[in-house]
Amino acid sequence: MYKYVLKRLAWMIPIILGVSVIIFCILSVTPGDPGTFILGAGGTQADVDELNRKLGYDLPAWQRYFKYMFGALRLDLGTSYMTKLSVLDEVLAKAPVSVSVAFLGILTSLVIGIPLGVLSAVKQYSLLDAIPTFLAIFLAAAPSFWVGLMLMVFFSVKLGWLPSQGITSIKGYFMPMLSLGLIYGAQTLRFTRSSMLETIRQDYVRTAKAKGASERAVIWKHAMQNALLPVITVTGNNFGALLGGAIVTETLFGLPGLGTYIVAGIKAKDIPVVMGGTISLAILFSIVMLLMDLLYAYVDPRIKAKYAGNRG
Amino acid sequence: MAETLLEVKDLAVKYKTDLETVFAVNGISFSLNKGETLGIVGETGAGKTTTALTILRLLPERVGVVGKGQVLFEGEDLLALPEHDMMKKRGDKISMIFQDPMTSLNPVHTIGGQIAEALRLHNEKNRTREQLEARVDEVLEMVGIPPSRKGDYPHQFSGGMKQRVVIAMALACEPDLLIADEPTTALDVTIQAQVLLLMRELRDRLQTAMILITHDLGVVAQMCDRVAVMYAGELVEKGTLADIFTGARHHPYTQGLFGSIPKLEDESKTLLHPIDGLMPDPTDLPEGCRFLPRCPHACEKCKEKQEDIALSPTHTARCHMLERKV
Amino acid sequence: MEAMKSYASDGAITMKKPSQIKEIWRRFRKNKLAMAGLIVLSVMILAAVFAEQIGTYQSAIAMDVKNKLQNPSWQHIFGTDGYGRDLFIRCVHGGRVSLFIGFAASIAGMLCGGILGMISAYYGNKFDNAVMRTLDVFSAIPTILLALTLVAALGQGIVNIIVALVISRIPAFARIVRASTLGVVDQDYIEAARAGGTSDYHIMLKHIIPNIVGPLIVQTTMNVSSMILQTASLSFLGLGISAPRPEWGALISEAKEYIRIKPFMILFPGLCIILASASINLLGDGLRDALDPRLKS
Repeated sequence: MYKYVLKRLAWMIPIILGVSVIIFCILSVTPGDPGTFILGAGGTQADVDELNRKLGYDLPAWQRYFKYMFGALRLDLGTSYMTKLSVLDEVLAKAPVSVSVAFLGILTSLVIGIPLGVLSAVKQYSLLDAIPTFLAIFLAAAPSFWVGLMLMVFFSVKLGWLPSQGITSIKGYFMPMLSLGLIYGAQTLRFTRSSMLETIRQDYVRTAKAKGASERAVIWKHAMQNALLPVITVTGNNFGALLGGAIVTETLFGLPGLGTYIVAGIKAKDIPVVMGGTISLAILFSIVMLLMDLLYAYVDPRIKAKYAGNRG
Repeated sequence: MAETLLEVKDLAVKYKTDLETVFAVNGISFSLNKGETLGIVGETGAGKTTTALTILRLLPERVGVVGKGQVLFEGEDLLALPEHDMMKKRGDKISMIFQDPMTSLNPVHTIGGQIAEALRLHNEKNRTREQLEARVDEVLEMVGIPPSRKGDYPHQFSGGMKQRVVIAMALACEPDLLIADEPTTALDVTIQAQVLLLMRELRDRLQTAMILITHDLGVVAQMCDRVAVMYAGELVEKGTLADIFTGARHHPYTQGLFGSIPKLEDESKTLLHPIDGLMPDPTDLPEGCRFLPRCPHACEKCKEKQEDIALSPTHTARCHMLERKV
Repeated sequence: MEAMKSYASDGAITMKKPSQIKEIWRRFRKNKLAMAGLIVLSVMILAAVFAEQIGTYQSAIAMDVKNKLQNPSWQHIFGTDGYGRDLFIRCVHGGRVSLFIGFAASIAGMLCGGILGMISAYYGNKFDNAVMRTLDVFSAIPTILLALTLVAALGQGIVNIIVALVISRIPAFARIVRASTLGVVDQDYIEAARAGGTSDYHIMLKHIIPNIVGPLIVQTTMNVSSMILQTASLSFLGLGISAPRPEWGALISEAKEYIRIKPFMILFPGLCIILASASINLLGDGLRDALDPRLKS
């Protein structure tokens, strides 16, 4: 098992390298240079060149890449072209916001999605199936920022209970959490439902019934654990997607997370910011995926055996 | 006269989906005495498994519907029992072994845990946890699995071993009736023999009555006291093992099944001989004899509804041609 | 259950065989939700195709400040926006853009990712390994972020957005197709075809594609809705369709500043997106069930 974890952690290195190459390439072909961007229309070509030289932007792209990566090895992610702030410090300050929003969102989605999903599978064809399923279809089709805006209309504009922007108080987390929770909860619900329906048709569920187990015992003891296995995978993927996908939600609610940081960087062609932000997201993503795999191994003995074996 | 354990009377089952209605079982009757083994043979899709599931009331919900009939177990109609009482019977009085041991066990629970569950569900004697565990060891040993492996998960066992686990689970509570649905079909030939031997031994030791569903006539010859031949949801011929294997007169379908009827002494496995044509569409069954389209002796009278013809006190067949010779 | 399955398959043989597509349609038609999805989607596509006839593009972008921020009425059933433009007409024209991008990006993504995944699975070994590892790298970048940087690099505009969405979606499609191809490649009939000297190209075209096309169509359909949502998100983040061209996401984004006074301006374009993407999802579900009836009870 430890071997497996180490192997996975080692595998993160080429992934991160690959991500940095891809993002750097895309950024290199993005039109514009930081000098022009910072000085605006007011700067002369000489001023712009001078500033670009100072920022190290006059070097060819591959040299800049290697310079950047050697810096990154010493945990120096450079400074923002625009703000002159250390990217590492900024990332360390913003990552917790993104992670906690994503985590709260996922947690809410599970709290909403799993019980309702199981319920609608068990009560298939009844109202208890129809209503959650309908809501799930609706929410799964809605853009996250639209759901967020609707919550804002309700909680901030109509009721005036919650701040529409920022996280100066703990209240600020509520709407981002709920909007992400609703959307991903809808997915979790649909997934739990179909997984559960699939599971209760399995032979071993019939075996359990043939042993004389009650409907309830069959569902909770035999079907549940098996049905949740694929749900774990989906939740892991959702969590990963949420880390980046929360960009929209972060922007909407004005949260100082990695998402807003990167978007601002992309718009300003602030290469160190985008590189640093994306690489940290990729690292977070890989860690989340690893944790999910470990959780999967914990609940599924077959997977555990595979990891523990020589192949792991 | 042996005591009747199970009596199925005029049972009909259909599967209803949005798209079609499948008439799986159409008015079958048979009975089973205590300690006796009945073999139900027939092609895939003849309604054998449906019959078994109906006895245990495990038909797929909403889809599987019992049209008519009774299933009397020790004189009590199982089809009329409340679900709660039926639950108590399942696994305790009546157990079932399913066809595919690979999928019959829950992959995330240990095999010991799954056997213990059967015991715990029917723990009228209020045995303690230790006593239950001791019983699990005993049952595992009975089917030839070292009790030290009870903490293992299903994926750690081979197909034959898994089927032993399933058998252990089914017999843990020493049921009066065991329904085995093609218990060896999914296994390798060498393993099949071992598992059959084990089942025969345990049946004899525990005095369990058994319904053995199979399409393997060799298995029937080895295991059964009586045989029922099923075709398109009907029992076309019923009789003792000797009636079916050595009797002079048979339903044309049975004749087709056997190709040439093998000698009882001949232990070699005789698989079904292919019969030309296919079973009738179960969504649209003909009124008269269901075997008519494939029968070499078909005539006008076959289009009428067929009755069981008694060939001997123990032997009946559902074909009018056999009537003339009586 | 077993008995029923085998019954059904036996029955299928004896049935007079209608053509496969007819059979799929027959099953699909029974699914009320999927039919509703199909109808709603068809109406929306028709509205998008005939957008000019419903209200000209000029009227969708021409400002009429006198009539700004009007509530829904018979004249303007969705009301008007901050520049006095009819929101219903803008939604219709927005649908043109959103639906076009959604379908185009989805189909192109399926083709690119699908070919990559199939070739990768078919040739296997080192090539497969290299492709899969590359895809792993791409998967570590959130799709929206990848699309965002690509749009920034390529510039805004419908074609560039489609390209960005396609690239960010290739890994997902490649994986799906690879997985289903792997399930087919091992089959005996492929071995037989190979042994018989059939060319790889021919095997892929005649033996593999027909066997994986069902689930692929379903995936592509479902993907249209996520493409529409992604496009909307890009517009919302300010790197999507740029003003004055209407697009559903951009319409919501524009309406955001009037959240305190005219929340309905956010409601309508949002409902358009939901209606379209829910219809597509239902259609996809229905297709999946119709293509593979075993999955349905």
